[in-house]
Amino acid sequence: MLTLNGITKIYDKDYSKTKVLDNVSLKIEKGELTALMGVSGSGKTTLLNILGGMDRATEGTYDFMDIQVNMLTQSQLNKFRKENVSFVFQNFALMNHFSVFENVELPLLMKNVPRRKRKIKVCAILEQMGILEMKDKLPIHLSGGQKQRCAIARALVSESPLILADEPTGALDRKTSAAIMELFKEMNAAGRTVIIVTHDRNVAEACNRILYISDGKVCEEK
Amino acid sequence: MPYYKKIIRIFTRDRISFFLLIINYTFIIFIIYNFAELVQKIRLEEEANTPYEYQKNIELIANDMYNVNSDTVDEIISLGEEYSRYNTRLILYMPVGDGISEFQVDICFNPEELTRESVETFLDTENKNEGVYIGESILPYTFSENDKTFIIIAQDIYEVKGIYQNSSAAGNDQRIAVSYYSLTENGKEKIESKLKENLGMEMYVSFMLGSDEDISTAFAEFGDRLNSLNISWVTSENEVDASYQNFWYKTLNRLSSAGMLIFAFLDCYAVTTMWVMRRKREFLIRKALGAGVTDIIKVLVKDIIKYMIVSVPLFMVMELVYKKTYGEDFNVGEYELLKYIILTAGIFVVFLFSLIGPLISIHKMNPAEGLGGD
Repeated sequence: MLTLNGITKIYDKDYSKTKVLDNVSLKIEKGELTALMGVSGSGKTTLLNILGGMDRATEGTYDFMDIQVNMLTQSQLNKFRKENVSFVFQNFALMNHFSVFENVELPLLMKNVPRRKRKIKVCAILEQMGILEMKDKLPIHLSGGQKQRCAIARALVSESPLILADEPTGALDRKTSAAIMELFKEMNAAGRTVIIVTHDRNVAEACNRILYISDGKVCEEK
Repeated sequence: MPYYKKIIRIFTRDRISFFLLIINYTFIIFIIYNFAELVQKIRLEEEANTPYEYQKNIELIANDMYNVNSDTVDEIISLGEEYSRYNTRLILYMPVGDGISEFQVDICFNPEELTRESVETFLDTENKNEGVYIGESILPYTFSENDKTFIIIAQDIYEVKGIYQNSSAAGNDQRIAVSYYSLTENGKEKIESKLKENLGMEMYVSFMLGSDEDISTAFAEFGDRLNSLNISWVTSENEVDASYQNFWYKTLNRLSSAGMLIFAFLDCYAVTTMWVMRRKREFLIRKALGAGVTDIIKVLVKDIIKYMIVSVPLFMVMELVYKKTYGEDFNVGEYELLKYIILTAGIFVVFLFSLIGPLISIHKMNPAEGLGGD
Protein backbone atom coordinates (compact mmCIF):
# COMPACT_ATOMS: atom_id res chain seq x y z
CA MET A 1 0.00 0.00 0.00
CA LEU A 2 2.76 2.41 0.90
CA THR A 3 6.43 2.30 0.17
CA LEU A 4 9.17 4.51 1.53
CA ASN A 5 12.48 4.39 -0.23
CA GLY A 6 15.57 6.07 1.16
CA ILE A 7 13.63 8.67 3.11
CA THR A 8 15.86 11.22 4.81
CA LYS A 9 14.63 14.19 6.77
CA ILE A 10 16.96 16.98 7.80
CA TYR A 11 15.75 19.95 9.83
CA ASP A 12 17.72 23.04 9.00
CA LYS A 13 17.14 25.62 11.71
CA ASP A 14 19.35 28.43 12.97
CA TYR A 15 22.34 27.32 10.89
CA SER A 16 22.36 23.86 12.48
CA LYS A 17 21.25 20.78 10.63
CA THR A 18 19.60 17.87 12.39
CA LYS A 19 19.11 14.59 10.60
CA VAL A 20 15.93 13.10 12.04
CA LEU A 21 15.37 10.32 9.54
CA ASP A 22 18.26 8.63 7.84
CA ASN A 23 17.64 6.67 4.68
CA VAL A 24 14.48 4.95 5.87
CA SER A 25 13.02 2.33 3.58
CA LEU A 26 9.79 0.70 4.51
CA LYS A 27 6.86 -1.12 3.01
CA ILE A 28 3.44 -1.40 4.66
CA GLU A 29 0.74 -3.54 3.13
CA LYS A 30 -2.94 -2.76 3.01
CA GLY A 31 -4.82 -3.82 6.15
CA GLU A 32 -1.78 -3.95 8.42
CA LEU A 33 -1.95 -2.77 12.04
CA THR A 34 1.54 -1.48 12.66
CA ALA A 35 3.12 -0.07 15.79
CA LEU A 36 6.02 2.34 15.50
CA MET A 37 8.09 2.43 18.66
CA GLY A 38 11.11 4.40 19.70
CA VAL A 39 12.47 6.70 22.36
CA SER A 40 11.64 10.42 22.44
CA GLY A 41 13.31 12.31 19.61
CA SER A 42 13.93 9.16 17.61
CA GLY A 43 11.88 10.49 14.68
CA LYS A 44 8.67 8.47 15.01
CA THR A 45 6.40 11.47 14.70
CA THR A 46 8.44 12.88 11.82
CA LEU A 47 8.05 9.59 9.99
CA LEU A 48 4.34 9.59 10.76
CA ASN A 49 4.01 13.16 9.46
CA ILE A 50 5.77 12.23 6.24
CA LEU A 51 3.51 9.20 5.85
CA GLY A 52 0.49 11.44 6.38
CA GLY A 53 1.65 14.14 3.96
CA MET A 54 1.95 16.76 6.69
CA ASP A 55 5.69 17.01 6.24
CA ARG A 56 8.06 16.46 3.32
CA ALA A 57 11.11 14.30 3.19
CA THR A 58 14.41 15.98 2.34
CA GLU A 59 15.41 13.00 0.22
CA GLY A 60 13.87 9.75 -0.94
CA THR A 61 10.61 8.66 -2.47
CA TYR A 62 7.26 7.88 -0.96
CA ASP A 63 4.63 5.99 -2.91
CA PHE A 64 1.11 5.64 -1.60
CA MET A 65 -0.81 3.21 -3.76
CA ASP A 66 -0.26 4.76 -7.19
CA ILE A 67 0.49 8.28 -5.88
CA GLN A 68 4.08 9.50 -5.71
CA VAL A 69 3.58 11.61 -2.62
CA ASN A 70 7.02 13.24 -2.57
CA MET A 71 6.27 14.82 -5.95
CA LEU A 72 3.00 16.45 -4.90
CA THR A 73 2.58 20.21 -4.62
CA GLN A 74 1.25 21.72 -1.39
CA SER A 75 -2.35 21.86 -2.61
CA GLN A 76 -2.07 18.29 -3.94
CA LEU A 77 -0.72 17.23 -0.54
CA ASN A 78 -3.74 18.85 1.12
CA LYS A 79 -6.00 16.90 -1.21
CA PHE A 80 -4.01 13.74 -0.55
CA ARG A 81 -4.51 14.16 3.21
CA LYS A 82 -8.18 14.96 2.79
CA GLU A 83 -8.85 11.83 0.75
CA ASN A 84 -6.44 9.24 2.03
CA VAL A 85 -5.29 9.92 5.57
CA SER A 86 -6.90 10.28 8.97
CA PHE A 87 -4.97 11.40 12.03
CA VAL A 88 -5.46 10.63 15.69
CA PHE A 89 -3.31 12.76 17.97
CA GLN A 90 -2.09 12.22 21.49
CA ASN A 91 -3.60 15.53 22.58
CA PHE A 92 -6.79 14.60 20.67
CA ALA A 93 -6.61 17.78 18.53
CA LEU A 94 -10.26 18.59 19.02
CA MET A 95 -11.62 22.06 18.42
CA ASN A 96 -12.70 23.21 21.85
CA HIS A 97 -15.32 25.69 20.68
CA PHE A 98 -17.08 23.09 18.56
CA SER A 99 -19.37 20.34 19.81
CA VAL A 100 -18.46 16.66 19.55
CA PHE A 101 -20.80 16.39 16.57
CA GLU A 102 -19.20 19.37 14.82
CA ASN A 103 -15.70 18.01 15.46
CA VAL A 104 -16.55 14.66 13.95
CA GLU A 105 -18.44 16.30 11.10
CA LEU A 106 -15.42 18.36 10.02
CA PRO A 107 -13.81 15.93 7.52
CA LEU A 108 -17.19 15.45 5.84
CA LEU A 109 -17.73 19.20 5.65
CA MET A 110 -14.38 19.53 3.93
CA LYS A 111 -15.42 16.88 1.45
CA ASN A 112 -18.69 18.77 0.79
CA VAL A 113 -20.87 15.85 1.88
CA PRO A 114 -24.55 16.94 1.98
CA ARG A 115 -25.92 17.92 5.38
CA ARG A 116 -28.38 15.03 5.68
CA LYS A 117 -25.78 12.43 4.82
CA ARG A 118 -23.35 14.05 7.25
CA LYS A 119 -25.82 13.83 10.07
CA ILE A 120 -26.60 10.15 9.45
CA LYS A 121 -22.93 9.22 9.15
CA VAL A 122 -21.73 11.18 12.18
CA CYS A 123 -24.48 9.82 14.41
CA ALA A 124 -23.72 6.26 13.30
CA ILE A 125 -20.01 6.65 14.08
CA LEU A 126 -20.70 8.32 17.42
CA GLU A 127 -23.01 5.48 18.33
CA GLN A 128 -20.32 3.00 17.35
CA MET A 129 -17.89 4.86 19.58
CA GLY A 130 -20.41 4.93 22.40
CA ILE A 131 -20.53 8.73 22.71
CA LEU A 132 -23.71 9.55 20.82
CA GLU A 133 -25.31 11.07 23.91
CA MET A 134 -22.34 13.45 24.14
CA LYS A 135 -22.80 14.81 20.63
CA ASP A 136 -23.90 18.30 21.70
CA LYS A 137 -21.28 18.65 24.40
CA LEU A 138 -18.08 20.61 24.04
CA PRO A 139 -14.82 18.63 24.27
CA ILE A 140 -13.95 20.32 27.56
CA HIS A 141 -16.86 18.47 29.14
CA LEU A 142 -15.54 15.07 28.07
CA SER A 143 -13.16 12.69 29.84
CA GLY A 144 -9.83 11.77 28.23
CA GLY A 145 -11.21 8.49 26.92
CA GLN A 146 -14.28 10.18 25.49
CA LYS A 147 -12.12 12.81 23.82
CA GLN A 148 -10.01 10.12 22.19
CA ARG A 149 -13.14 8.27 21.07
CA CYS A 150 -14.29 11.53 19.53
CA ALA A 151 -10.92 11.92 17.75
CA ILE A 152 -11.13 8.34 16.53
CA ALA A 153 -14.70 8.94 15.35
CA ARG A 154 -13.41 11.90 13.34
CA ALA A 155 -10.72 9.67 11.82
CA LEU A 156 -13.24 6.98 10.99
CA VAL A 157 -15.95 9.14 9.53
CA SER A 158 -13.93 10.17 6.50
CA GLU A 159 -13.37 6.53 5.48
CA SER A 160 -9.74 7.15 4.60
CA PRO A 161 -7.74 4.01 3.84
CA LEU A 162 -4.84 5.04 6.11
CA ILE A 163 -5.17 5.92 9.78
CA LEU A 164 -2.17 7.40 11.55
CA ALA A 165 -2.26 7.62 15.32
CA ASP A 166 0.37 9.51 17.27
CA GLU A 167 0.48 8.23 20.86
CA PRO A 168 -3.31 7.74 20.92
CA THR A 169 -3.22 6.27 24.41
CA GLY A 170 -0.46 8.50 25.79
CA ALA A 171 -2.84 10.59 27.88
CA LEU A 172 -5.12 7.76 28.95
CA ASP A 173 -5.21 5.28 31.82
CA ARG A 174 -4.55 1.59 31.24
CA LYS A 175 -8.21 0.55 31.10
CA THR A 176 -9.19 3.28 28.70
CA SER A 177 -6.08 2.58 26.61
CA ALA A 178 -7.15 -1.03 26.22
CA ALA A 179 -10.63 0.06 25.13
CA ILE A 180 -9.16 2.50 22.61
CA MET A 181 -6.86 -0.20 21.23
CA GLU A 182 -9.92 -2.41 20.73
CA LEU A 183 -11.36 0.35 18.57
CA PHE A 184 -8.18 0.48 16.48
CA LYS A 185 -8.35 -3.27 16.06
CA GLU A 186 -11.96 -2.95 14.89
CA MET A 187 -10.92 -0.32 12.38
CA ASN A 188 -8.16 -2.57 11.16
CA ALA A 189 -10.55 -5.50 10.92
CA ALA A 190 -12.75 -3.31 8.74
CA GLY A 191 -9.89 -3.12 6.24
CA ARG A 192 -8.14 0.10 7.25
CA THR A 193 -4.40 0.32 7.40
CA VAL A 194 -3.45 1.64 10.84
CA ILE A 195 -0.06 2.91 11.97
CA ILE A 196 0.28 3.72 15.64
CA VAL A 197 3.20 5.59 17.16
CA THR A 198 3.57 4.55 20.76
CA HIS A 199 5.87 4.23 23.74
CA ASP A 200 3.62 1.68 25.35
CA ARG A 201 4.71 -1.92 24.87
CA ASN A 202 1.19 -3.20 25.63
CA VAL A 203 -0.19 -1.08 22.84
CA ALA A 204 2.54 -2.21 20.45
CA GLU A 205 1.95 -5.84 21.28
CA ALA A 206 -1.71 -5.47 20.41
CA CYS A 207 -0.58 -4.70 16.85
CA ASN A 208 0.34 -7.32 14.30
CA ARG A 209 3.62 -5.65 13.33
CA ILE A 210 6.10 -3.62 15.35
CA LEU A 211 8.71 -1.29 13.87
CA TYR A 212 11.47 0.21 16.00
CA ILE A 213 12.99 3.49 15.16
CA SER A 214 16.25 4.65 16.60
CA ASP A 215 18.52 7.55 15.58
CA GLY A 216 16.47 8.09 12.49
CA LYS A 217 16.70 4.52 11.27
CA VAL A 218 14.07 1.83 11.27
CA CYS A 219 16.33 -0.70 12.83
CA GLU A 220 14.30 -3.62 14.03
CA GLU A 221 11.25 -5.32 12.75
CA LYS A 222 9.31 -8.14 14.30
CA MET B 1 -30.18 20.47 21.57
CA PRO B 2 -32.80 23.19 20.93
CA TYR B 3 -32.32 25.11 17.71
CA TYR B 4 -31.98 28.49 19.43
CA LYS B 5 -29.19 27.12 21.61
CA LYS B 6 -27.35 25.93 18.51
CA ILE B 7 -27.62 29.40 16.98
CA ILE B 8 -26.39 31.03 20.20
CA ARG B 9 -23.47 28.62 20.28
CA ILE B 10 -22.56 29.35 16.64
CA PHE B 11 -22.38 33.06 17.50
CA THR B 12 -20.69 32.74 20.84
CA ARG B 13 -18.24 29.89 20.38
CA ASP B 14 -15.43 32.17 21.32
CA ARG B 15 -17.05 34.84 23.48
CA ILE B 16 -14.04 37.13 23.73
CA SER B 17 -13.56 37.17 19.97
CA PHE B 18 -17.29 37.50 19.45
CA PHE B 19 -17.69 40.65 21.53
CA LEU B 20 -14.42 42.17 20.39
CA LEU B 21 -15.22 41.55 16.75
CA ILE B 22 -18.80 42.75 17.01
CA ILE B 23 -17.71 46.02 18.63
CA ASN B 24 -14.89 46.55 16.15
CA TYR B 25 -16.90 45.60 13.08
CA THR B 26 -19.67 47.95 14.16
CA PHE B 27 -17.15 50.80 14.42
CA ILE B 28 -15.51 49.85 11.16
CA ILE B 29 -18.84 49.85 9.30
CA PHE B 30 -19.69 53.15 10.97
CA ILE B 31 -16.42 54.72 9.83
CA ILE B 32 -16.69 53.36 6.30
CA TYR B 33 -20.32 54.45 6.09
CA ASN B 34 -19.49 57.99 7.13
CA PHE B 35 -16.57 58.01 4.72
CA ALA B 36 -18.94 56.86 1.98
CA GLU B 37 -21.35 59.60 2.94
CA LEU B 38 -18.61 62.20 2.70
CA VAL B 39 -17.54 60.91 -0.71
CA GLN B 40 -21.12 61.20 -1.84
CA LYS B 41 -21.41 64.72 -0.48
CA ILE B 42 -18.20 65.75 -2.18
CA ARG B 43 -19.40 64.23 -5.44
CA LEU B 44 -22.72 66.02 -5.22
CA GLU B 45 -20.98 69.18 -4.22
CA GLU B 46 -18.56 68.95 -7.13
CA GLU B 47 -21.40 68.17 -9.46
CA ALA B 48 -23.25 71.18 -8.17
CA ASN B 49 -20.05 73.22 -7.91
CA THR B 50 -21.22 74.73 -4.66
CA PRO B 51 -19.65 75.25 -1.27
CA TYR B 52 -19.85 72.16 0.86
CA GLU B 53 -20.98 73.67 4.13
CA TYR B 54 -24.11 75.12 2.63
CA GLN B 55 -24.86 72.01 0.72
CA LYS B 56 -24.83 70.29 4.07
CA ASN B 57 -27.38 72.74 5.34
CA ILE B 58 -29.32 72.24 2.16
CA GLU B 59 -28.61 75.79 1.13
CA LEU B 60 -26.56 77.36 -1.53
CA ILE B 61 -25.19 80.81 -1.53
CA ALA B 62 -24.86 82.26 -4.94
CA ASN B 63 -22.96 85.40 -4.20
CA ASP B 64 -22.28 86.13 -7.77
CA MET B 65 -25.95 86.22 -8.60
CA TYR B 66 -26.47 89.55 -6.97
CA ASN B 67 -27.72 91.31 -10.00
CA VAL B 68 -31.04 89.66 -10.53
CA ASN B 69 -32.75 90.62 -13.73
CA SER B 70 -34.06 88.95 -16.82
CA ASP B 71 -30.56 88.53 -18.24
CA THR B 72 -29.35 86.40 -15.34
CA VAL B 73 -32.58 84.64 -14.69
CA ASP B 74 -31.95 81.73 -17.03
CA GLU B 75 -28.83 80.91 -15.09
CA ILE B 76 -30.69 81.09 -11.80
CA ILE B 77 -33.46 78.90 -13.13
CA SER B 78 -31.04 76.27 -14.37
CA LEU B 79 -29.20 76.33 -11.05
CA GLY B 80 -32.48 76.07 -9.21
CA GLU B 81 -33.66 73.19 -11.32
CA GLU B 82 -30.39 71.38 -10.82
CA TYR B 83 -30.49 71.81 -7.06
CA SER B 84 -34.20 71.27 -6.71
CA ARG B 85 -33.68 67.50 -6.76
CA TYR B 86 -31.72 67.83 -3.55
CA ASN B 87 -34.48 69.98 -2.14
CA THR B 88 -31.95 72.75 -2.00
CA ARG B 89 -32.62 76.39 -1.40
CA LEU B 90 -30.93 78.90 -3.59
CA ILE B 91 -30.31 81.95 -1.51
CA LEU B 92 -29.29 85.12 -3.22
CA TYR B 93 -27.48 87.63 -1.06
CA MET B 94 -28.10 91.00 -2.50
CA PRO B 95 -26.39 93.89 -0.81
CA VAL B 96 -28.40 97.04 -1.05
CA GLY B 97 -28.03 100.74 -0.60
CA ASP B 98 -24.68 101.92 0.57
CA GLY B 99 -23.78 98.52 1.99
CA ILE B 100 -25.06 99.16 5.48
CA SER B 101 -27.69 96.48 5.20
CA GLU B 102 -28.73 93.76 2.89
CA PHE B 103 -31.72 91.65 2.10
CA GLN B 104 -31.95 88.16 0.92
CA VAL B 105 -34.12 86.46 -1.62
CA ASP B 106 -34.65 82.91 -0.59
CA ILE B 107 -35.93 80.91 -3.51
CA CYS B 108 -37.08 77.38 -2.94
CA PHE B 109 -37.27 75.37 -6.08
CA ASN B 110 -39.55 72.81 -4.65
CA PRO B 111 -40.78 70.31 -7.20
CA GLU B 112 -42.76 68.40 -4.63
CA GLU B 113 -46.46 68.70 -4.14
CA LEU B 114 -47.78 70.74 -1.28
CA THR B 115 -47.33 68.66 1.85
CA ARG B 116 -48.02 69.35 5.46
CA GLU B 117 -44.30 69.65 6.04
CA SER B 118 -43.67 72.06 3.20
CA VAL B 119 -46.64 74.13 4.21
CA GLU B 120 -45.55 74.24 7.79
CA THR B 121 -41.96 74.92 6.90
CA PHE B 122 -42.30 77.40 4.14
CA LEU B 123 -45.81 78.73 4.12
CA ASP B 124 -46.50 79.83 7.62
CA THR B 125 -49.15 77.51 8.90
CA GLU B 126 -49.59 76.32 12.36
CA ASN B 127 -51.38 73.06 12.73
CA LYS B 128 -53.96 72.84 15.44
CA ASN B 129 -55.99 69.83 16.39
CA GLU B 130 -59.22 71.51 15.48
CA GLY B 131 -57.93 72.97 12.26
CA VAL B 132 -55.08 74.99 10.84
CA TYR B 133 -53.91 78.54 10.93
CA ILE B 134 -52.34 79.57 7.69
CA GLY B 135 -50.28 82.41 6.37
CA GLU B 136 -51.94 84.73 3.93
CA SER B 137 -49.59 83.55 1.24
CA ILE B 138 -51.28 80.21 0.89
CA LEU B 139 -54.77 81.55 0.76
CA PRO B 140 -55.01 80.58 -2.90
CA TYR B 141 -54.81 76.93 -1.89
CA THR B 142 -57.97 77.20 0.15
CA PHE B 143 -61.56 76.61 -0.87
CA SER B 144 -64.86 77.45 0.75
CA GLU B 145 -67.88 75.33 1.47
CA ASN B 146 -70.88 76.15 3.67
CA ASP B 147 -69.29 79.38 4.84
CA LYS B 148 -66.19 77.57 6.00
CA THR B 149 -62.71 77.65 4.54
CA PHE B 150 -60.70 74.50 4.01
CA ILE B 151 -57.27 73.58 2.76
CA ILE B 152 -56.03 70.25 1.43
CA ILE B 153 -52.60 69.34 2.74
CA ALA B 154 -51.17 65.98 1.71
CA GLN B 155 -54.65 64.72 0.78
CA ASP B 156 -56.06 65.60 4.19
CA ILE B 157 -58.69 68.30 4.46
CA TYR B 158 -58.25 70.83 7.25
CA GLU B 159 -60.55 73.61 8.25
CA VAL B 160 -58.84 76.98 8.17
CA LYS B 161 -59.33 78.54 11.58
CA GLY B 162 -57.42 81.70 11.06
CA ILE B 163 -55.03 83.62 8.84
CA TYR B 164 -51.79 85.22 9.92
CA GLN B 165 -51.06 88.52 8.29
CA ASN B 166 -47.44 89.01 7.23
CA SER B 167 -46.15 86.46 9.65
CA SER B 168 -43.78 83.62 9.01
CA ALA B 169 -42.52 80.32 10.30
CA ALA B 170 -39.43 82.12 11.45
CA GLY B 171 -41.41 84.23 13.88
CA ASN B 172 -41.80 87.97 13.72
CA ASP B 173 -39.10 88.62 11.18
CA GLN B 174 -39.64 90.36 7.92
CA ARG B 175 -40.13 87.23 5.92
CA ILE B 176 -43.04 86.95 3.59
CA ALA B 177 -43.65 83.69 1.83
CA VAL B 178 -45.37 83.72 -1.49
CA SER B 179 -46.25 80.75 -3.56
CA TYR B 180 -45.33 81.44 -7.09
CA TYR B 181 -47.81 78.81 -8.20
CA SER B 182 -50.45 81.35 -7.64
CA LEU B 183 -48.70 84.65 -7.43
CA THR B 184 -51.18 87.27 -8.55
CA GLU B 185 -50.49 90.78 -9.70
CA ASN B 186 -51.80 91.87 -6.37
CA GLY B 187 -49.36 89.59 -4.59
CA LYS B 188 -46.42 90.84 -6.61
CA GLU B 189 -47.29 94.41 -5.82
CA LYS B 190 -47.53 93.48 -2.19
CA ILE B 191 -44.03 92.06 -2.21
CA GLU B 192 -42.68 95.01 -4.09
CA SER B 193 -44.15 97.45 -1.66
CA LYS B 194 -42.88 95.32 1.18
CA LEU B 195 -39.38 95.49 -0.22
CA LYS B 196 -39.57 99.22 -0.67
CA GLU B 197 -40.96 99.68 2.83
CA ASN B 198 -38.15 97.72 4.37
CA LEU B 199 -35.32 99.00 2.26
CA GLY B 200 -32.38 99.53 4.54
CA MET B 201 -33.53 96.81 6.90
CA GLU B 202 -32.58 93.18 6.93
CA MET B 203 -35.34 91.05 5.47
CA TYR B 204 -36.12 87.89 3.59
CA VAL B 205 -38.43 87.19 0.74
CA SER B 206 -39.26 83.57 0.01
CA PHE B 207 -40.79 82.29 -3.18
CA MET B 208 -42.11 78.83 -3.77
CA LEU B 209 -41.50 78.11 -7.42
CA GLY B 210 -43.47 75.19 -8.76
CA SER B 211 -41.88 73.22 -11.54
CA ASP B 212 -45.11 72.97 -13.46
CA GLU B 213 -45.25 76.71 -13.80
CA ASP B 214 -43.52 78.82 -16.33
CA ILE B 215 -40.84 79.65 -13.84
CA SER B 216 -38.65 81.46 -16.26
CA THR B 217 -41.30 83.97 -17.22
CA ALA B 218 -42.55 84.42 -13.72
CA PHE B 219 -39.16 84.84 -12.26
CA ALA B 220 -37.86 87.08 -15.01
CA GLU B 221 -40.81 89.30 -14.48
CA PHE B 222 -40.14 89.46 -10.79
CA GLY B 223 -36.41 89.88 -11.31
CA ASP B 224 -37.12 92.90 -13.45
CA ARG B 225 -39.37 94.23 -10.78
CA LEU B 226 -36.61 93.87 -8.22
CA ASN B 227 -34.26 95.56 -10.55
CA SER B 228 -36.70 98.37 -11.06
CA LEU B 229 -36.24 99.24 -7.42
CA ASN B 230 -33.18 101.03 -8.69
CA ILE B 231 -30.88 99.65 -6.06
CA SER B 232 -27.19 100.11 -6.59
CA TRP B 233 -25.69 96.65 -6.21
CA VAL B 234 -22.39 96.14 -4.52
CA THR B 235 -20.24 93.04 -4.54
CA SER B 236 -20.50 90.90 -1.46
CA GLU B 237 -17.29 89.76 0.20
CA ASN B 238 -18.96 86.58 1.39
CA GLU B 239 -17.97 84.85 -1.77
CA VAL B 240 -14.26 85.03 -0.95
CA ASP B 241 -14.81 83.96 2.64
CA ALA B 242 -17.00 81.07 1.60
CA SER B 243 -14.46 79.78 -0.90
CA TYR B 244 -11.66 80.05 1.63
CA GLN B 245 -13.68 78.30 4.30
CA ASN B 246 -14.86 75.80 1.82
CA PHE B 247 -11.32 74.79 0.86
CA TRP B 248 -10.22 74.16 4.44
CA TYR B 249 -13.48 72.58 5.38
CA LYS B 250 -13.23 70.15 2.51
CA THR B 251 -9.55 69.46 3.05
CA LEU B 252 -9.99 68.84 6.76
CA ASN B 253 -12.96 66.62 6.13
CA ARG B 254 -11.14 64.62 3.53
CA LEU B 255 -8.03 64.28 5.65
CA SER B 256 -9.91 63.25 8.77
CA SER B 257 -12.01 60.79 6.78
CA ALA B 258 -8.94 59.30 5.15
CA GLY B 259 -7.32 59.10 8.60
CA MET B 260 -10.38 57.38 10.01
CA LEU B 261 -10.39 54.98 7.09
CA ILE B 262 -6.75 54.10 7.72
CA PHE B 263 -7.56 53.68 11.40
CA ALA B 264 -10.49 51.41 10.47
CA PHE B 265 -8.19 49.35 8.30
CA LEU B 266 -5.50 49.06 11.00
CA ASP B 267 -8.12 48.24 13.60
CA CYS B 268 -9.66 45.61 11.35
CA TYR B 269 -6.21 44.20 10.61
CA ALA B 270 -5.25 44.00 14.28
CA VAL B 271 -8.54 42.49 15.37
CA THR B 272 -8.61 39.98 12.53
CA THR B 273 -5.01 38.95 13.25
CA MET B 274 -5.81 38.52 16.94
CA TRP B 275 -8.95 36.57 16.08
CA VAL B 276 -7.11 34.28 13.67
CA MET B 277 -4.27 33.72 16.15
CA ARG B 278 -6.78 32.76 18.82
CA ARG B 279 -8.04 30.15 16.37
CA LYS B 280 -4.57 28.94 15.44
CA ARG B 281 -5.20 25.47 16.87
CA GLU B 282 -8.45 25.16 14.96
CA PHE B 283 -6.75 26.07 11.69
CA LEU B 284 -3.90 23.66 12.41
CA ILE B 285 -6.45 20.88 12.89
CA ARG B 286 -8.25 21.88 9.72
CA LYS B 287 -4.95 21.91 7.85
CA ALA B 288 -4.01 18.51 9.26
CA LEU B 289 -7.31 17.19 7.95
CA GLY B 290 -6.46 18.50 4.50
CA ALA B 291 -7.84 22.03 4.40
CA GLY B 292 -6.11 24.36 1.95
CA VAL B 293 -5.99 28.16 2.03
CA THR B 294 -9.24 28.32 0.04
CA ASP B 295 -11.01 26.23 2.67
CA ILE B 296 -9.65 28.47 5.42
CA ILE B 297 -10.76 31.60 3.52
CA LYS B 298 -14.24 30.08 3.23
CA VAL B 299 -14.36 29.50 6.99
CA LEU B 300 -13.13 33.04 7.74
CA VAL B 301 -15.48 34.74 5.29
CA LYS B 302 -18.41 32.71 6.60
CA ASP B 303 -17.56 33.79 10.14
CA ILE B 304 -17.06 37.42 9.14
CA ILE B 305 -20.51 37.39 7.51
CA LYS B 306 -21.89 35.85 10.69
CA TYR B 307 -20.42 38.67 12.78
CA MET B 308 -21.62 41.22 10.23
CA ILE B 309 -25.19 40.00 10.70
CA VAL B 310 -24.94 41.21 14.28
CA SER B 311 -22.78 44.26 13.56
CA VAL B 312 -24.95 45.82 10.85
CA PRO B 313 -28.05 46.35 13.04
CA LEU B 314 -25.77 47.63 15.80
CA PHE B 315 -24.18 50.04 13.36
CA MET B 316 -27.62 51.24 12.26
CA VAL B 317 -28.56 52.03 15.84
CA MET B 318 -25.22 53.78 16.34
CA GLU B 319 -25.60 55.79 13.14
CA LEU B 320 -29.15 56.72 14.08
CA VAL B 321 -28.01 58.00 17.47
CA TYR B 322 -25.13 59.86 15.82
CA LYS B 323 -27.41 61.48 13.26
CA LYS B 324 -29.98 62.38 15.87
CA THR B 325 -27.26 63.96 17.99
CA TYR B 326 -26.19 66.14 15.09
CA GLY B 327 -29.73 66.73 13.87
CA GLU B 328 -29.23 65.02 10.54
CA ASP B 329 -31.39 62.50 8.71
CA PHE B 330 -30.53 58.85 8.43
CA ASN B 331 -32.41 57.83 5.34
CA VAL B 332 -32.05 55.70 2.28
CA GLY B 333 -32.82 57.50 -0.93
CA GLU B 334 -32.27 57.53 -4.63
CA TYR B 335 -29.10 59.52 -4.37
CA GLU B 336 -27.76 57.26 -1.65
CA LEU B 337 -26.84 54.54 -4.14
CA LEU B 338 -23.28 55.78 -4.51
CA LYS B 339 -22.93 55.77 -0.73
CA TYR B 340 -23.96 52.13 -0.51
CA ILE B 341 -21.71 51.15 -3.39
CA ILE B 342 -18.79 52.82 -1.58
CA LEU B 343 -19.86 51.24 1.72
CA THR B 344 -19.95 47.74 0.23
CA ALA B 345 -16.70 48.21 -1.68
CA GLY B 346 -15.07 49.80 1.38
CA ILE B 347 -16.03 46.93 3.66
CA PHE B 348 -14.92 44.43 1.05
CA VAL B 349 -11.53 46.11 0.53
CA VAL B 350 -10.84 46.69 4.25
CA PHE B 351 -11.71 43.11 5.18
CA LEU B 352 -9.92 41.64 2.20
CA PHE B 353 -6.69 43.47 3.00
CA SER B 354 -6.99 42.78 6.70
CA LEU B 355 -7.21 39.07 5.91
CA ILE B 356 -4.04 38.97 3.83
CA GLY B 357 -1.61 39.00 6.78
CA PRO B 358 -3.45 36.39 8.87
CA LEU B 359 -3.90 34.20 5.81
CA ILE B 360 -0.18 34.27 5.09
CA SER B 361 0.54 33.22 8.67
CA ILE B 362 -2.06 30.45 8.43
CA HIS B 363 -0.47 29.33 5.19
CA LYS B 364 2.92 29.19 6.93
CA MET B 365 1.57 27.19 9.87
CA ASN B 366 2.75 23.63 9.82
CA PRO B 367 0.25 21.28 11.44
CA ALA B 368 3.06 18.78 11.93
CA GLU B 369 4.84 21.24 14.20
CA GLY B 370 1.74 22.61 15.85
CA LEU B 371 -0.06 19.39 16.68
CA GLY B 372 2.49 16.60 16.60
CA GLY B 373 4.87 15.08 19.13
CA ASP B 374 8.61 14.52 18.74
